[in-house]
Parts: sequence; structure tokens; C-alpha cells
Amino acid sequence: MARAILVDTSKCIGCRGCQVACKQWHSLKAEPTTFWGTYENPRDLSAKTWRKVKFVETVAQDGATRWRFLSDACKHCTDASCLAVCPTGALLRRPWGAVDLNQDVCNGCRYCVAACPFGVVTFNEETGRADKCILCPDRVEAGLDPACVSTCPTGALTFGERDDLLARAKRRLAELQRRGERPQLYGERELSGLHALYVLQEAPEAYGLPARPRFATASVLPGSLLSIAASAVMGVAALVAFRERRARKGE
Amino acid sequence: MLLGNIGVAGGGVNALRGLSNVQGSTDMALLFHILPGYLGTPTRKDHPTLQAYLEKETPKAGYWVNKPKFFVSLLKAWYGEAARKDNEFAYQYLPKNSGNYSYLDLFEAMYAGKLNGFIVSGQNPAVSGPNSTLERKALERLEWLVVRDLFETETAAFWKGPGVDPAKVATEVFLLPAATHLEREGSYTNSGRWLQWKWKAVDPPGDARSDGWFANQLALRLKKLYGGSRAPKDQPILALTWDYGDGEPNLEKVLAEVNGHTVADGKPVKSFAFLADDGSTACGNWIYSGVFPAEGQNRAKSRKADPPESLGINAGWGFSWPANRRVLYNRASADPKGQPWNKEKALIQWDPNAELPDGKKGKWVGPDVPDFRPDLAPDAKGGGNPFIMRPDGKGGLWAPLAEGPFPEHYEPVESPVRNLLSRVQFNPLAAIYKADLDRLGDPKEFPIVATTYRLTEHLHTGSITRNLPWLVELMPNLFCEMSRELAAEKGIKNGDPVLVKSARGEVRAVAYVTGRLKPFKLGDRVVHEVGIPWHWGFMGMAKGDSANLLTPHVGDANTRIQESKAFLVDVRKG
Repeated sequence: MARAILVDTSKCIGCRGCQVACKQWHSLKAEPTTFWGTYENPRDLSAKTWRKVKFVETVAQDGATRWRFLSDACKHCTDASCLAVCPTGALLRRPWGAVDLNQDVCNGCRYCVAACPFGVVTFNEETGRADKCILCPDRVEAGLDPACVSTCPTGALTFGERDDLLARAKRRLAELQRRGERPQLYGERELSGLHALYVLQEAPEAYGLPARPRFATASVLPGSLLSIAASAVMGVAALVAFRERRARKGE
Repeated sequence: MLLGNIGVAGGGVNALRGLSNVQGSTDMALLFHILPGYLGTPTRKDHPTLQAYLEKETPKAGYWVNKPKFFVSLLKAWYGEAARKDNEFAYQYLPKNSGNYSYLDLFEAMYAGKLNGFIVSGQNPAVSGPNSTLERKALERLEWLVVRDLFETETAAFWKGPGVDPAKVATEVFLLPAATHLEREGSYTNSGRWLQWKWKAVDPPGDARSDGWFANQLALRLKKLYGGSRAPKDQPILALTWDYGDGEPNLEKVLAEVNGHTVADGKPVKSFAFLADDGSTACGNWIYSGVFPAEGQNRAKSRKADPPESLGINAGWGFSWPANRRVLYNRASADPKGQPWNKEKALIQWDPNAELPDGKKGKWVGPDVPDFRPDLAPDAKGGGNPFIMRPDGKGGLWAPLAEGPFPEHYEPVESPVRNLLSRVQFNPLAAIYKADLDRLGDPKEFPIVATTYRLTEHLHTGSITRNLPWLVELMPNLFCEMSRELAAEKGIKNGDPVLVKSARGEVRAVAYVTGRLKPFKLGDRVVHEVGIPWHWGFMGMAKGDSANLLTPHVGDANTRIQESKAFLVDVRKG
């Protein structure tokens, strides 16, 4: 059964425990930052920041200011562009839904970075490989929640069977509607279903989420194929070089 | 109380404490005006003798009539054999208060050069205290300063702070590395009054030592230093009972002393009900009595939780003072006839057929320990008076406030507006100090209201959190929140550097222009407000100006809490 993470923004208090727990579990270093006119930091997701909380200030029609928070990371799409364009198989699907990343196999081609419709896959300049949230397969497959979920103090992040979380999200939606809010569910059908579901209190665009995320393979695939071909050529060349060297040694 | 929320399950006074053991440190008399167990500190004026103290401080009715038992037992715990009936149980060894020794007053005295030495443990006054300029200057007037902390704090490093010439500071500073809470054992008392033992997780690194080790060494070495002295001033130190081991003290031995024992056989007392005022018992803190009722039985370690669907009394989890009662004044959970107001949440009720140890019938029964005489029937005299600590046994609507009893609106001492609700502008009993650096601002010069606050990412003065890279990454710099309207008026853009100035000092910060702050419309005037977190200082990984450079040395009329939530500043780009 597919599993997922549910992000209920209406329960988020912006404490950023998830952001730090992620760094702690995955041993990701702190980035140098400066205050830039928002509580949000670092500015973007990166090889050292796989999850971050976005702080969004909105003004409602009645003039009231709202402070919204979104714990943002990889969405683990069913139609995952990154996975489709990966020439080496470094990006792979766990049986329960997460898009995992095996860095040992990554060749640093960055097609996944370009293909991700959410901009969450990043390139690690230090290792020359891609980086992103992998939804803690080491924890999940040992029966634990992902690190971000386990630290959330308010229940804004939950992890479980995707169908259960969908039902829960819909109940929450109805609850918020009764309160006079206009919440939205995000991730049920986008890209054939995300493994990160969101209860949003504003339109997706307010949080910087694309209203209609698109599968990017169409534009990137030719390049990807070229890369595969190039890898094959290089591989053969390497073998030839190796054989030549051995042949010389034998002389 | 009027709504029936006192003494019932889920009700009561639940103070939201800022730290895990604030309740414990208050119970154990961290404050200057009390001794352990909320016994008032003797004063030079009112309590020259033990007899005078007990006569003045013991009410005629209510449970506090037992105060002499608690007080004499405390003296016995502290001075052991040196506390005898014929020497007022060593009462004269206790220092007598002759003034106010609260935080602000101590720093004023220090600034006036009246204090020679200062021991600071896990506190960082150079950042947390109001009017930091004055407080840092006050530290320069000490002969010696001891700081125990995890990092070199601004207090430990005041002599090399901004604008200070180290060559001109004569204070000798000792910085001792301290162990964290995870590196030592002991107990915490939460605001539900539960004592919970905690165990050491790891050894402290290097030379870092626990608080207990420091206190133990301080006492042992002072005793050695004064050894053999006959000077009267040294006797309180020499007479102090102190037997917890040489290095890391045995904290269970300390807790057993706090619990109390009978002097003759040294056996623990089962509760404060067994304490006496004739010197036959010793007890370090009567309210904690019962936490160590028998040899080797530390109830703070007990870990039996009630099932989640139950009322949640959890009588088997830790120890709740007094007498393991979970809900204070729980007599109020039952009606005058002794039947629970809410049967599903019954704490105690009168059972006329229940048998007492002496064979008589009728007692209070239920899942909680009665906060009441267990055999006092509802129809007996006083049987309907739940508030046993008060002389009349009744709840009181008026608290004994210095400026009470009637509530009144006062403006902060620094305010841009006239008090429209009272002829008196600000609290006439507020503590205001008159040293040269205690300047108050004129609204004409400082027209903007400022408030200070904390962030999720940093703890207090940031002495720990500004040294943790992941938290520094989240909140790297001091900022100043302001409304769009104020920013427009001052030509400030989001992210611009700004200078915030008060009558006491100035800080540089990054502007955070936000709709979350709105200008106030007060009468025909618009008043602006800015918000500044107070976590920064000049040490650590994330450095910045301290917001308390701006705040005044003004204390509230009852507890002298600093007035750092409302004061006056001006703001400009720069």
C-alpha cells in the first residue's frame, strides 16, 4: 500500500522543528544565513536543506493579515519527472511510494534538477550529485515515522497509508469549511497523485506551489537519452583505455 | 473560582513556567523573601528572635498554624546538633533581611559599589537584565565574579564587551565550565508540583561539573577555610550539616534530608504531619515531605502511569507535593454534603461507612489524596471549608497586592499617552531607580512604543542556542518588526538596517516590515509600535546587539518583574 506524508498547514505553528529534525537525522550541515526581511531561512531548499518551512503573509479581503506556514520538501510524485529523466537509476521508487535517491549511482547530470516541477531537487556542489528529501526510508522501513513527522509538536505533519491520510485530509477540509475558511486539498490528483498531501488555507500559488504541476519529461527526455548514450560511449572508452593500459603493463 | 474551576479534575492554577524546574527552584527558595517551603525570610526589623518570628508569622487558624513545626524542623535540618532548644535552634545563624534583594535592587546596589562579589550560575544578566548598559557597568564595580555556564557568556565576557576597555576593568572573573541537564542527575518539579527524578545520560566533557558538585565543593571548601575559627560570623558555615560525599554529591541523600527524619533514630518521616517544633525532627522542606518516606524509597523515581482513558490522576507517577495530592483544594470537587459535583470526575467524596485506622467510621475516599482532614465530616464544624491554608478556610477573591485590592489601569512608566482611565498616570508603587544611568524617555523625543519578546528558535539570552549552528541558521540576526505604515513614514524598506534608540541605549537591527504589526489609533493620534527579540549579545556564533540595552530598570509593584514589554524608542534607517 502507498504511504504518504500529510501536511496540514492549518495546524502548523511555524516552529521549524521539522526543518531541524531533517538536518539532524540526515547529518546535513547548517548554511550561513542572514535575516532578509522574513522569518524564513535559508532562502531555498538545497543539498544541505531538504525541508524548510515557508512563511507567507497574506491579506484577506477584509484586510486581516494572516501568517501562513508551509513545511515544504519533495512531493514524491507518482508521475515523477526526476525519476523518468534519471539516466543512471540513482533515483528509484520505494515500494511504498517514496522517490529515493542512491547517490552512489548519481553521475551529477542535473536532469532531475531541471525536470522537477516543484524545484525541490537540488545539486550538491561538494559531492557533484543530486540531493533531496528521500522521506527517510531507513526510518520508515524500520517502522518509524520520518524524522520531520516524529518531531512535529502539533500534528501538522502525519505519516501513514495514503488512503487513510486522504480521508483524514478531507475530514479536516470539511471542518475548516464549517469554520468559514476556504481550504484546498493539494496532491490528491496532481501528477497522478503526490505522496505528500497538503491541506492548504490559501491557493497553492500563495505558497509558491504550482496550481497545475506538469510532468517535465516531454521537454527533458531527449537530453536525457543523449546523456545515456554519452555515458555508454564513455563507459566503452574507459574499458578500452583500461585494456590498453593492462596490455602495456604486460609488455 | 467563581466558575467552579478550582479543586476539580482538569482545573486549578496551572502556572505556565518558562523553564522545566522553575517550580522546584521556587519551592526550594531561590527567591530572597522565602526559605524552603514558602516560610518567610526573617527580617531584622520584625523578627529579632525565634519567638518573635513564630508569633508574628503563625496565623491563628488554618493549616499554617503548624508553621513552627516546619520552621524548627528546617533549622534542625540545616544546623543539626548545633540547633538546640537553649539557643533558639540556631535561629541567629540565619541572615535577616533588611531590605529588598530582588534582581533589580541587587544590580542597583552593585552599580552603587555596595557589592563585592557575585556568583552567577546558568544566568546571563548582561543580556537578560533590563538596562544592560547599567548592568554591564555594574559588573565592572565588582571585585570578583564567578560565572558557571556551558559557553563563555556575555556576563563572563563583559570586560571585553562593546565600548569596554579591558585595561580599565579590575574585576577578577572566574569562568567555570558547567554540566548540562543531560550530564547530571537530580529532580525536576513541574508546575503540577510533580517531582520527577531524571538520570544522567552522558558524562560532562572535560572539566565541566554539575551544579551539585559546585555547591558541594563551595560548602566543603568554605568549611575547611573557616576550620577552627571562633569568630561568630563563621559559625553558621561551620555549623551547617553537610555530609553528601566528597566529589559529586549524593543527591538522594539531599532529597532524604529535604524529606525529613526523626532526630533520635534518623529514620525518614512519612509526611509533614509527623514534624514537631521541639527539635525532635529535622526537615529540609516540609512541602516535599513524603517524597522519601522510607530508606531507599525515592518516590520521585516512581513511574506508574494511569491508563490513557482514565481521569489521569497518575498517583503512581513521581511525587506531587504536598502528600502526593494531585489536585489542590480537592474538597471543592465535592458539594457541601461531600458528594462529587461531577460523578465522572470525582476526586474525593465523603463515605460515612469507610473505616478509619482507629476503627471509627466516616472518611474522605477517592482516587486523589484528600486536601482536607481525612475524618472531618461535611456536617462537622469547618467541614465545608475547602481552602485549608487560609485562616477562614474560604476562597479569597482579593489577592494581597501591594497596590490592591481593586484593579486599576495604569500606563507603563514610559508611555506616549496620558492615562484616560485614571488620574494617576502609572503605578505609584512601581520600582523606579535613580542612578545616573536610570534615564526615562520623553515621548516627544521617543514617540514609538517598543516591546521585546522571544523567538521559537532561541532560548532566553541565546547562550546555548546562539552556539548551535542549526538554530543560528534559522535566526541569525537581531531584527526589528514594524508596520508598513511606520516603515513608509521613515523611508525604511524590508531588510534595511535600522537604528533603534531609547533614553538608555541603542541597537542596530534588520528591519522586518510586516502587516502583523498595525499602528494604534489612540484618540486623534496614531501611535506606532516596534517589536524586538531579546536573544542577542556580543558572544557566540550569532552576534548582535542586546534588546535590553533599550529597556528601563523599572520593576512591577509586587514582584519587581522588569518592565520590558512596553517602553519608548525612536527608529531610523541606518
